[in-house]
Parts: sequence; structure tokens; C-alpha cells
Amino acid sequence: MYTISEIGHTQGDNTNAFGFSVDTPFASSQPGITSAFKFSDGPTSLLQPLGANGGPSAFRGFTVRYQDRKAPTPYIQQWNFTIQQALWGGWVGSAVYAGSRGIHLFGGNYDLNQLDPSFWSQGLALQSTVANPFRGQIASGPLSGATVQRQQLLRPFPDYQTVQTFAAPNASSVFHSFQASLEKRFSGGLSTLISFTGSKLITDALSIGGGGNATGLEGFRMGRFNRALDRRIDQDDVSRRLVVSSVYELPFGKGRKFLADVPTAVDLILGGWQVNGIGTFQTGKPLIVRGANNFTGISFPDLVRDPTLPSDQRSANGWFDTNAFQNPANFVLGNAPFTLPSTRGPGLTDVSFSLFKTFNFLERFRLETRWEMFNALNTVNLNNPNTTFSPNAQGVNTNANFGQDLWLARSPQDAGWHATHLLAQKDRTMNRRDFHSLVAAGMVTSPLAAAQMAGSAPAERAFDFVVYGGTAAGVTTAVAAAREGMKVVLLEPHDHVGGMVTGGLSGTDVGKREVIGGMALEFSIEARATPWVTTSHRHDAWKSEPRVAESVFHEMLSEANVTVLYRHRLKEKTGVSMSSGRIRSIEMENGARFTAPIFADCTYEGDLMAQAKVTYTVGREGVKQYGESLAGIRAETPHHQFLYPIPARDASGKLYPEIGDYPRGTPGEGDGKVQAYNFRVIASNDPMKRLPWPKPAGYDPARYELLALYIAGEEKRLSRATDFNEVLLPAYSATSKADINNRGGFSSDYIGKNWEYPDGNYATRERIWNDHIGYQQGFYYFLATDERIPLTLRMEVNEWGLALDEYEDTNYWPHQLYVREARRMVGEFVATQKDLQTDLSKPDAIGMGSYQSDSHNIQRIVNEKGFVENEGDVQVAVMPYQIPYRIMLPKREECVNLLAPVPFSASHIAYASMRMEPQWMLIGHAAGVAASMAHQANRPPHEIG
Amino acid sequence: MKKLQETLVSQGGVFEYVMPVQNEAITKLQRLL
Repeated sequence: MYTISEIGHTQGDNTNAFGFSVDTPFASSQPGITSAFKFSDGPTSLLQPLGANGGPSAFRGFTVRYQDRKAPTPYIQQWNFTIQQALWGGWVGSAVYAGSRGIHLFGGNYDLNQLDPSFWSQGLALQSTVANPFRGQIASGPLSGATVQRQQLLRPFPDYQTVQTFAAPNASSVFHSFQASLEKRFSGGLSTLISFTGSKLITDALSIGGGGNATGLEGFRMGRFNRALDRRIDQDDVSRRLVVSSVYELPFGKGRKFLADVPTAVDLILGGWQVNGIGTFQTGKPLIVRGANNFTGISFPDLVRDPTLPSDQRSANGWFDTNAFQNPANFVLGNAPFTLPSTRGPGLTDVSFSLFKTFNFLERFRLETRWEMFNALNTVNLNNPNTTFSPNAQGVNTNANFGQDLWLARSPQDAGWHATHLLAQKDRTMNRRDFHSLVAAGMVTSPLAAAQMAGSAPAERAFDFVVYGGTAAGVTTAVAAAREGMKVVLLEPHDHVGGMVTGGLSGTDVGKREVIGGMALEFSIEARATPWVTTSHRHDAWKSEPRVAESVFHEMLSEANVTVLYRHRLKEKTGVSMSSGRIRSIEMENGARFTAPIFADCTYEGDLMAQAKVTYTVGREGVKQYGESLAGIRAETPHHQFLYPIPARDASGKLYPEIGDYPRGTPGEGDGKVQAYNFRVIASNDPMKRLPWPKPAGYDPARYELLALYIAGEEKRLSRATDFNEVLLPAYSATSKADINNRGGFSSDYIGKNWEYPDGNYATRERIWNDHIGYQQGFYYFLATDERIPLTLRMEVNEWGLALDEYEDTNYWPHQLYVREARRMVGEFVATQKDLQTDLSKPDAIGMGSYQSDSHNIQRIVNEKGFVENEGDVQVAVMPYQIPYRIMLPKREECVNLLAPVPFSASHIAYASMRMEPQWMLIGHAAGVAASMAHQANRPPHEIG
Repeated sequence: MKKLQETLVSQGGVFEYVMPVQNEAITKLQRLL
């Protein structure tokens, strides 16, 4: 018998940094074959960041971020006191007090430009418009107009919008825990671990993980004025948790107590059985109620009494006293705490068993099979109730589902044979020790884990609505739902929101402006390039500088209190958990997991939809499939074509580069090929604001032989020199700044090199993406430098370069590849050519489209005469048509809680018209409102009334 | 569906193509903004 006591203290630092930076990309012209550069030679050049050259007023009128240069370093102190006592019969008991304290933690951001609440007494006068004193000083954005709201001028920095702190280390946390465990060490085939944790985590960190909104659901109510107001029991606090786990090796077979001498054949059946059991019992987490609406922009309601109900009165139909909440008086701060410490969500009871059987044979191999029973007691485990308070004019809640558990959190009992593995003996992966350590990792809240909770993303977060993909439609989907009162998270795989709208598509295709309304028009007017453009000048409204567009999106998301998480990419293959035709949760590559009753896929690629096993298609259909005259491979492609005949092969019979060595296919038949992608670079012709066209690593002018022949051919055809606008198409968003589009037979579209992209894995897509950068940079560089390009054209091209005021974090090159079309859902209703041309009205219309059916070229081939030919471009006018709601619904039998506003259900021909960014945005707007209605009614989006 | 459409219209949504440049949606949005 022995006793061990132990006391410890550790301290760890956590740092963050922010500043000017620029990456220099190195891309091989032939990835996988040649290297971008040799290590022995080093790279040819390194780009330098613009730094402070923009001057102090470069971002005046916009939303900016601020980081304190002298901010203290965050750190965590941990301490523990442990007593361990060996007991009888191989049992060991331990008792631990463990605590931790986080100081200067990230996660405490807020708006430095918050209106002082002492002004709230002025009431609605705050929203009256007054003359804008900054007119003429600020070039674009909301603060450039003739008038502004009075409250804007009362802000501490009236000539800026939000001044968001970045990585502000002003949050803290305290964690105390008592952990007791009783372990029966392995003997006689049995081992058991019983552990109990009682703990409390107190913090004022807002958005755990360091990002976060300035105000609202996860923000400091009074960031500048009273941050202590939001110190509370953390929303992920589990106050008590008991876990019992046990492993028992049945005592039969070789090496065991009974039947040790049976013949091998009998041992194969009777020996090697093992039973595991795990029971988990834990209390619920504190609830967060929001939804007040009283002109303060802060959604905390008033609490008139403790809303906790006695345990025997709680049910799925009413978990807490909903009448305890009221809307605060106008311009008065709601008094509800950040979390409700005693009003917790439902707890968890889960008992699961598994039976393992191992067959050893040929000495080297092991076959393992297991029977598992999850939730053996079939306990009804409820999710957190609906906590969206929706007040009416009298300040009383009107949300019928408020306080109710709308969805079962965990699956009912599920039993069966789940896995069979054949393992080589040396690969034996799981033994008893491994099993216990795995179980223990999830069941014992260690001081370290608690400290991490305050400083990193929690493993699982619940929302009302999860929107995956921060495209422009992703933003409108999320904002529309949040404006309806939903708790929404927008997950963006990379670093920017807005997709192509901020990724270079300044001059987006619009069609008839008159059919664009709602949030798409709201965005366009907010982000318009020319300050004096008003709603009656809408032809100019749809041109925006990417950085302005992104700041408008940030503002919309922030005002609607959408939680936005960047670098959250869906785990490949196993990122979606489904049961009974419903997405239960999605998991990111970083381990973060999100649950919600409804999800939306707003990626261009349709990754969430694909993993949810929803039927989709890639490439063009044939004429016969939906009776579309424009479908399939085209016999003739009149636009963006080689109009002067150019032989596809050189004198030696070799194909020129960038021509496909494959047949055209049969006209009218379908194929799996998609229209070309490119980057829409933002270029400037102001010598002070442009970067000369960069020479890509591995640049080979021979690759652009066909471009030289094309331009020479155009000169012969037109009997004059080709000018800049015939090779490249600029769309101006400012006096000296334009988005450069594809034009003509050989341009920035990288034809036929993206067919693997839609269904490719992340590595394949990255390769294709980089290949497009290499091709397109080389294309501009060739036009700018190669002697085969006429001097006049070369000079024109050299008047332009990459704009230095965009994309500083991606080397002035756009952050988004123009994925015009990837996966397309085959859902409840497939829109086709007739829906653009003849069948124009829909009973379930949610908006309108009107741009011509525009597919870019799909392949570049050798035609029947031996000349090079582009194939696949379709430019056919349509009538303004209504877009039906059903195009975003998967087939009901496949998934009942997914909306697909971007990879929606349409044929190649219909998608080629409906896919315009304004349409995507208005489809997203409708998706957000529809999600909210489905949530309120507790019905699938298929059944909204 | 009617409720969804009514909500979208109240938020500036357009369901009809009206030839003149100045249409009802703009007026509606001007009010909202």
C-alpha cells in the first residue's frame, strides 16, 4: 500500500502577431515534373509588402482593425494537488484538485468605435440624417454620401465605420475542478476506470478562439465601457461528469483460464473475445438567450425572474420559463446575463457496449470484428432548446418554439456489426492501455484541457443554422437568416468572404438590373464604385472595388451578428455525420464540429452537398436528357473563337501547346466536362499603383506559341493591329482600376484544364488552382514582353499591372479562382433551358434572373480540317424569368435539412444563366429567410408554408 | 410559400420585370435604406 501526493504549477505563454506581410508564391510550370527553383540557386525574387506606404488615411471611411503594438503576452497558470492511494485487489484511487487561470487571453475583441451609451437618451434622433462633413474627403463606401446618420458623427472616430480590435489580449478565465477516479488495473482479464469531474469555468472571453464579433451574441455588450458585464460561467461549462469504462477479456481459449487446450479450429471460434462498456453521464451547458430588438443593436433581453424550471417540469415542450424574458425599453440595455448560469440545457446519458473478437492466423495476420451497441439504454437525449427570443411591439415573445427542444441531439439505440479489420500482427493498434487512454482523453477534464477551452475552438458548437462557404451567396444566406433572429455561423474554408465578388469579379454580369432586388441590390448600392451613384443609376451600381465589397460584406455580417469562422474547411470524405436523411453535424479539418437543425451549402464546389450523399452531376447534359436544344457538345461555336484559320500542328506535325489531343465528341451528346475557369485580376493603369505583370516561376514562352499565332491571324483578318480591348476586356471599378476579363479565342480562360476540379480532392484542386495561376501569369507576361506581340499592343499591355491596393495577402493576385460551374445538385426540381425561355413563371418564385445563357468554352480541339477550334461557348439571350425555390432543395428522400443556394439544381444550360453573382446572392437571401421559417415551424425546408 | 414570398417582397425582392428603369423595388429599397 502506498500513497502519492503531488503538487504542481506550470505557466505557458501564448503569442500572436500582426503586421504587414506578403507571400512570394513559387509555382512550377509543370507541377510534379520540374521544380519551381533549385534550393542551391534560391528563388529569383522576393516580393516586399507595401507596408505603411498607403499612408495613415488609406482606409478612412472603412472598417479597420486595430492591434495594440504593446499588448501584453497572454499566459496561462495551472496548478494541481493530487493524492493517489493504492487500495485492495488491484484498485487505485486518486483525488485531484486542479485549477487554471488564463490572463490577457485573446478572444476579447470589441468595436473601439462603439457609440457611447450616454447618447442613447437621444432616442430615434440618433438615426436622423444630417449633412456628411466628410463628403468629398472619403472617396467611396457608406461614409462618402451626402448625408450620414447622426449617431455616426457621435462615434469616437466618426470618419470610420467599425474599428475592430484584433487579437486584443484582454480576456481572462478561471477554472477550478475536483477530479476523482477509481481504477482497477488489469488483472484476471478485467480492467475498469471510474472517473468523476466537478468543475467550473468562468470567463469573459467572447468568441472562444480569438476572432469574434465586436458586439452581439458573442460580443462584449459594452466593449469600450464595461467589459466586466460579460464575465460569466462559460457557455461550454459542464459542471459534473461521470464516466465509467470497463474492458473484460472473456476467459476462454488459448492462454486463458478455460479451454486453453482446445484444438486450433475450436479456439478460432471460442477464443479471443473481449467486452467493452462505456457509460457517460453529464450535466447540461448554460443557455444563452438573445433576440431583443430595441435600437441599441444589442440583443440581450431583460430578465424579469429566474427562468429555471424545476426538473420535473422540464420537457421537450418547455425547458424553461419563457415568460421570464421581456424586450428592454427602447435604447436601454437588456439586463440578462451573457449565459444563464442555473438554466442549463439537457444533460447527457449514454451507455454503449462493444464486443470484440480477434482471429489470429498464419501468425502474421489478425482479423478483428466487432459488434457495437450505441446508446444501449435508448435514452432520449435532447439537444439544447430554442433560445431565440422574438419580441412583438409589447415586448413579449412571439416565437412559438422558444424554450422547446426541437431536435433530438443524439441518435437512438443503434446496434450491429460495425467494422471488420484485417491487420498485420505488427500493426496491432489497440490494446487495453490504448483503449483506456482514449476513453480517458474524452472523459477527464484536465487542467490543460480547461486552459485550452479558454484559448482555442471548442470541439463542438451548436447553432440554429450552419452556412458552409463564405461566397457572396454564403454571406446573404447567413445574414438573411440572422436578421430573422437565427443564431448563424458562416464557415469559410479560406481567408476571405465574398467569393468572386471580392475575388476579382468587379464587373459582374448582371443582365436586366430591374429584376435584381433584396439583399443583392442592397449590397450593390452599398459597395458601388461611384459615390454619386444612386438607386436610379443602377447600371453603374454593379461595379465595386473588391476591398470595398469585402468591407460591405464584413459590415453586413457584423451588424447581423453572424459568427464568421475562417480557415474552417470541411474534413475530406468523413466531414458529414448523417442519420435518417438528416445532417447531424459537420466536422472541419481542424477538429471543430458544428451541429444545427439546418445547413446550407454555399460553396461553388458543393462539398457539403456531395458529402451528404445528395445526388449531383458534373459537366453538360446531352440534348435528349431534358430536351434542351442548346445542350451537349456544340457543332459550332461562334464566339471566343479562332476566326482566322490556324493549323493546330506545326511543320513537324506536333500539336501546338494548349490544344487538347482528344476528339470533339458527337454534337448534341453530353460529356462530363465543365466550362473554363480563370482569375479575374484587378489591374491598374496608374503607374504609382501597379505592379508590373509578374513573370511566373518556370515561365516558358513556347507555351504561348498559339497566342502569337492567334494575334497574327487577327491582324490578317482585320487588316489592322489588334488592340488591348480585343485580347483583354477591362471593366472599370475606379478611374484607373479594372477587372480584366477573358476575351477572344486565346485569353485568360485556361480551357480544358479544369475537368477534374469539381469532383477532385483538395490536393487535386490545389494543383489545378496553381496551374491556372502559372498559365495566366505567363499569358500576361507573354503579352507584355514577347517580341512576337506587336509593339503597340505590348505597350498597351504594359500600361497596366496588378493593382497594388488589392490582395496584399496573396501577392496582389486574386484569392479566388473563378469557378464558374462545378458540381450541380440534381434535386427536387431541375431548372432547364425552357425555364429561361418559355416557362418563365413559377408558383414558388423567390427572385428573377435575366442574363443570357453564358457558358465559356469547354475544350480546345483540332477540328475536322486540321485547324484549332474552341468548343462549348454558348451565348444565347433569354427572357427575364422567375427562379423557383425548389432549385435549392435536395430530393426529400436524400436529405431533409440542407439548402443548396450555390450548387443548385439546374442543367448546364440553365446554370449558365442563373449562376450570376447577383442571382446567387438573391437565392441566398431567400435561403436564409426560408431556413428561418423552417426553423420556427420545426419543419424541413421542403415544407415551409 | 406565400409567407416566404411576402417576406422577400417586404425586403425588396423582385418577382416581376418592369421595363422602366425606375421600378417599385428601388423605391422600396430606398425606404429600407
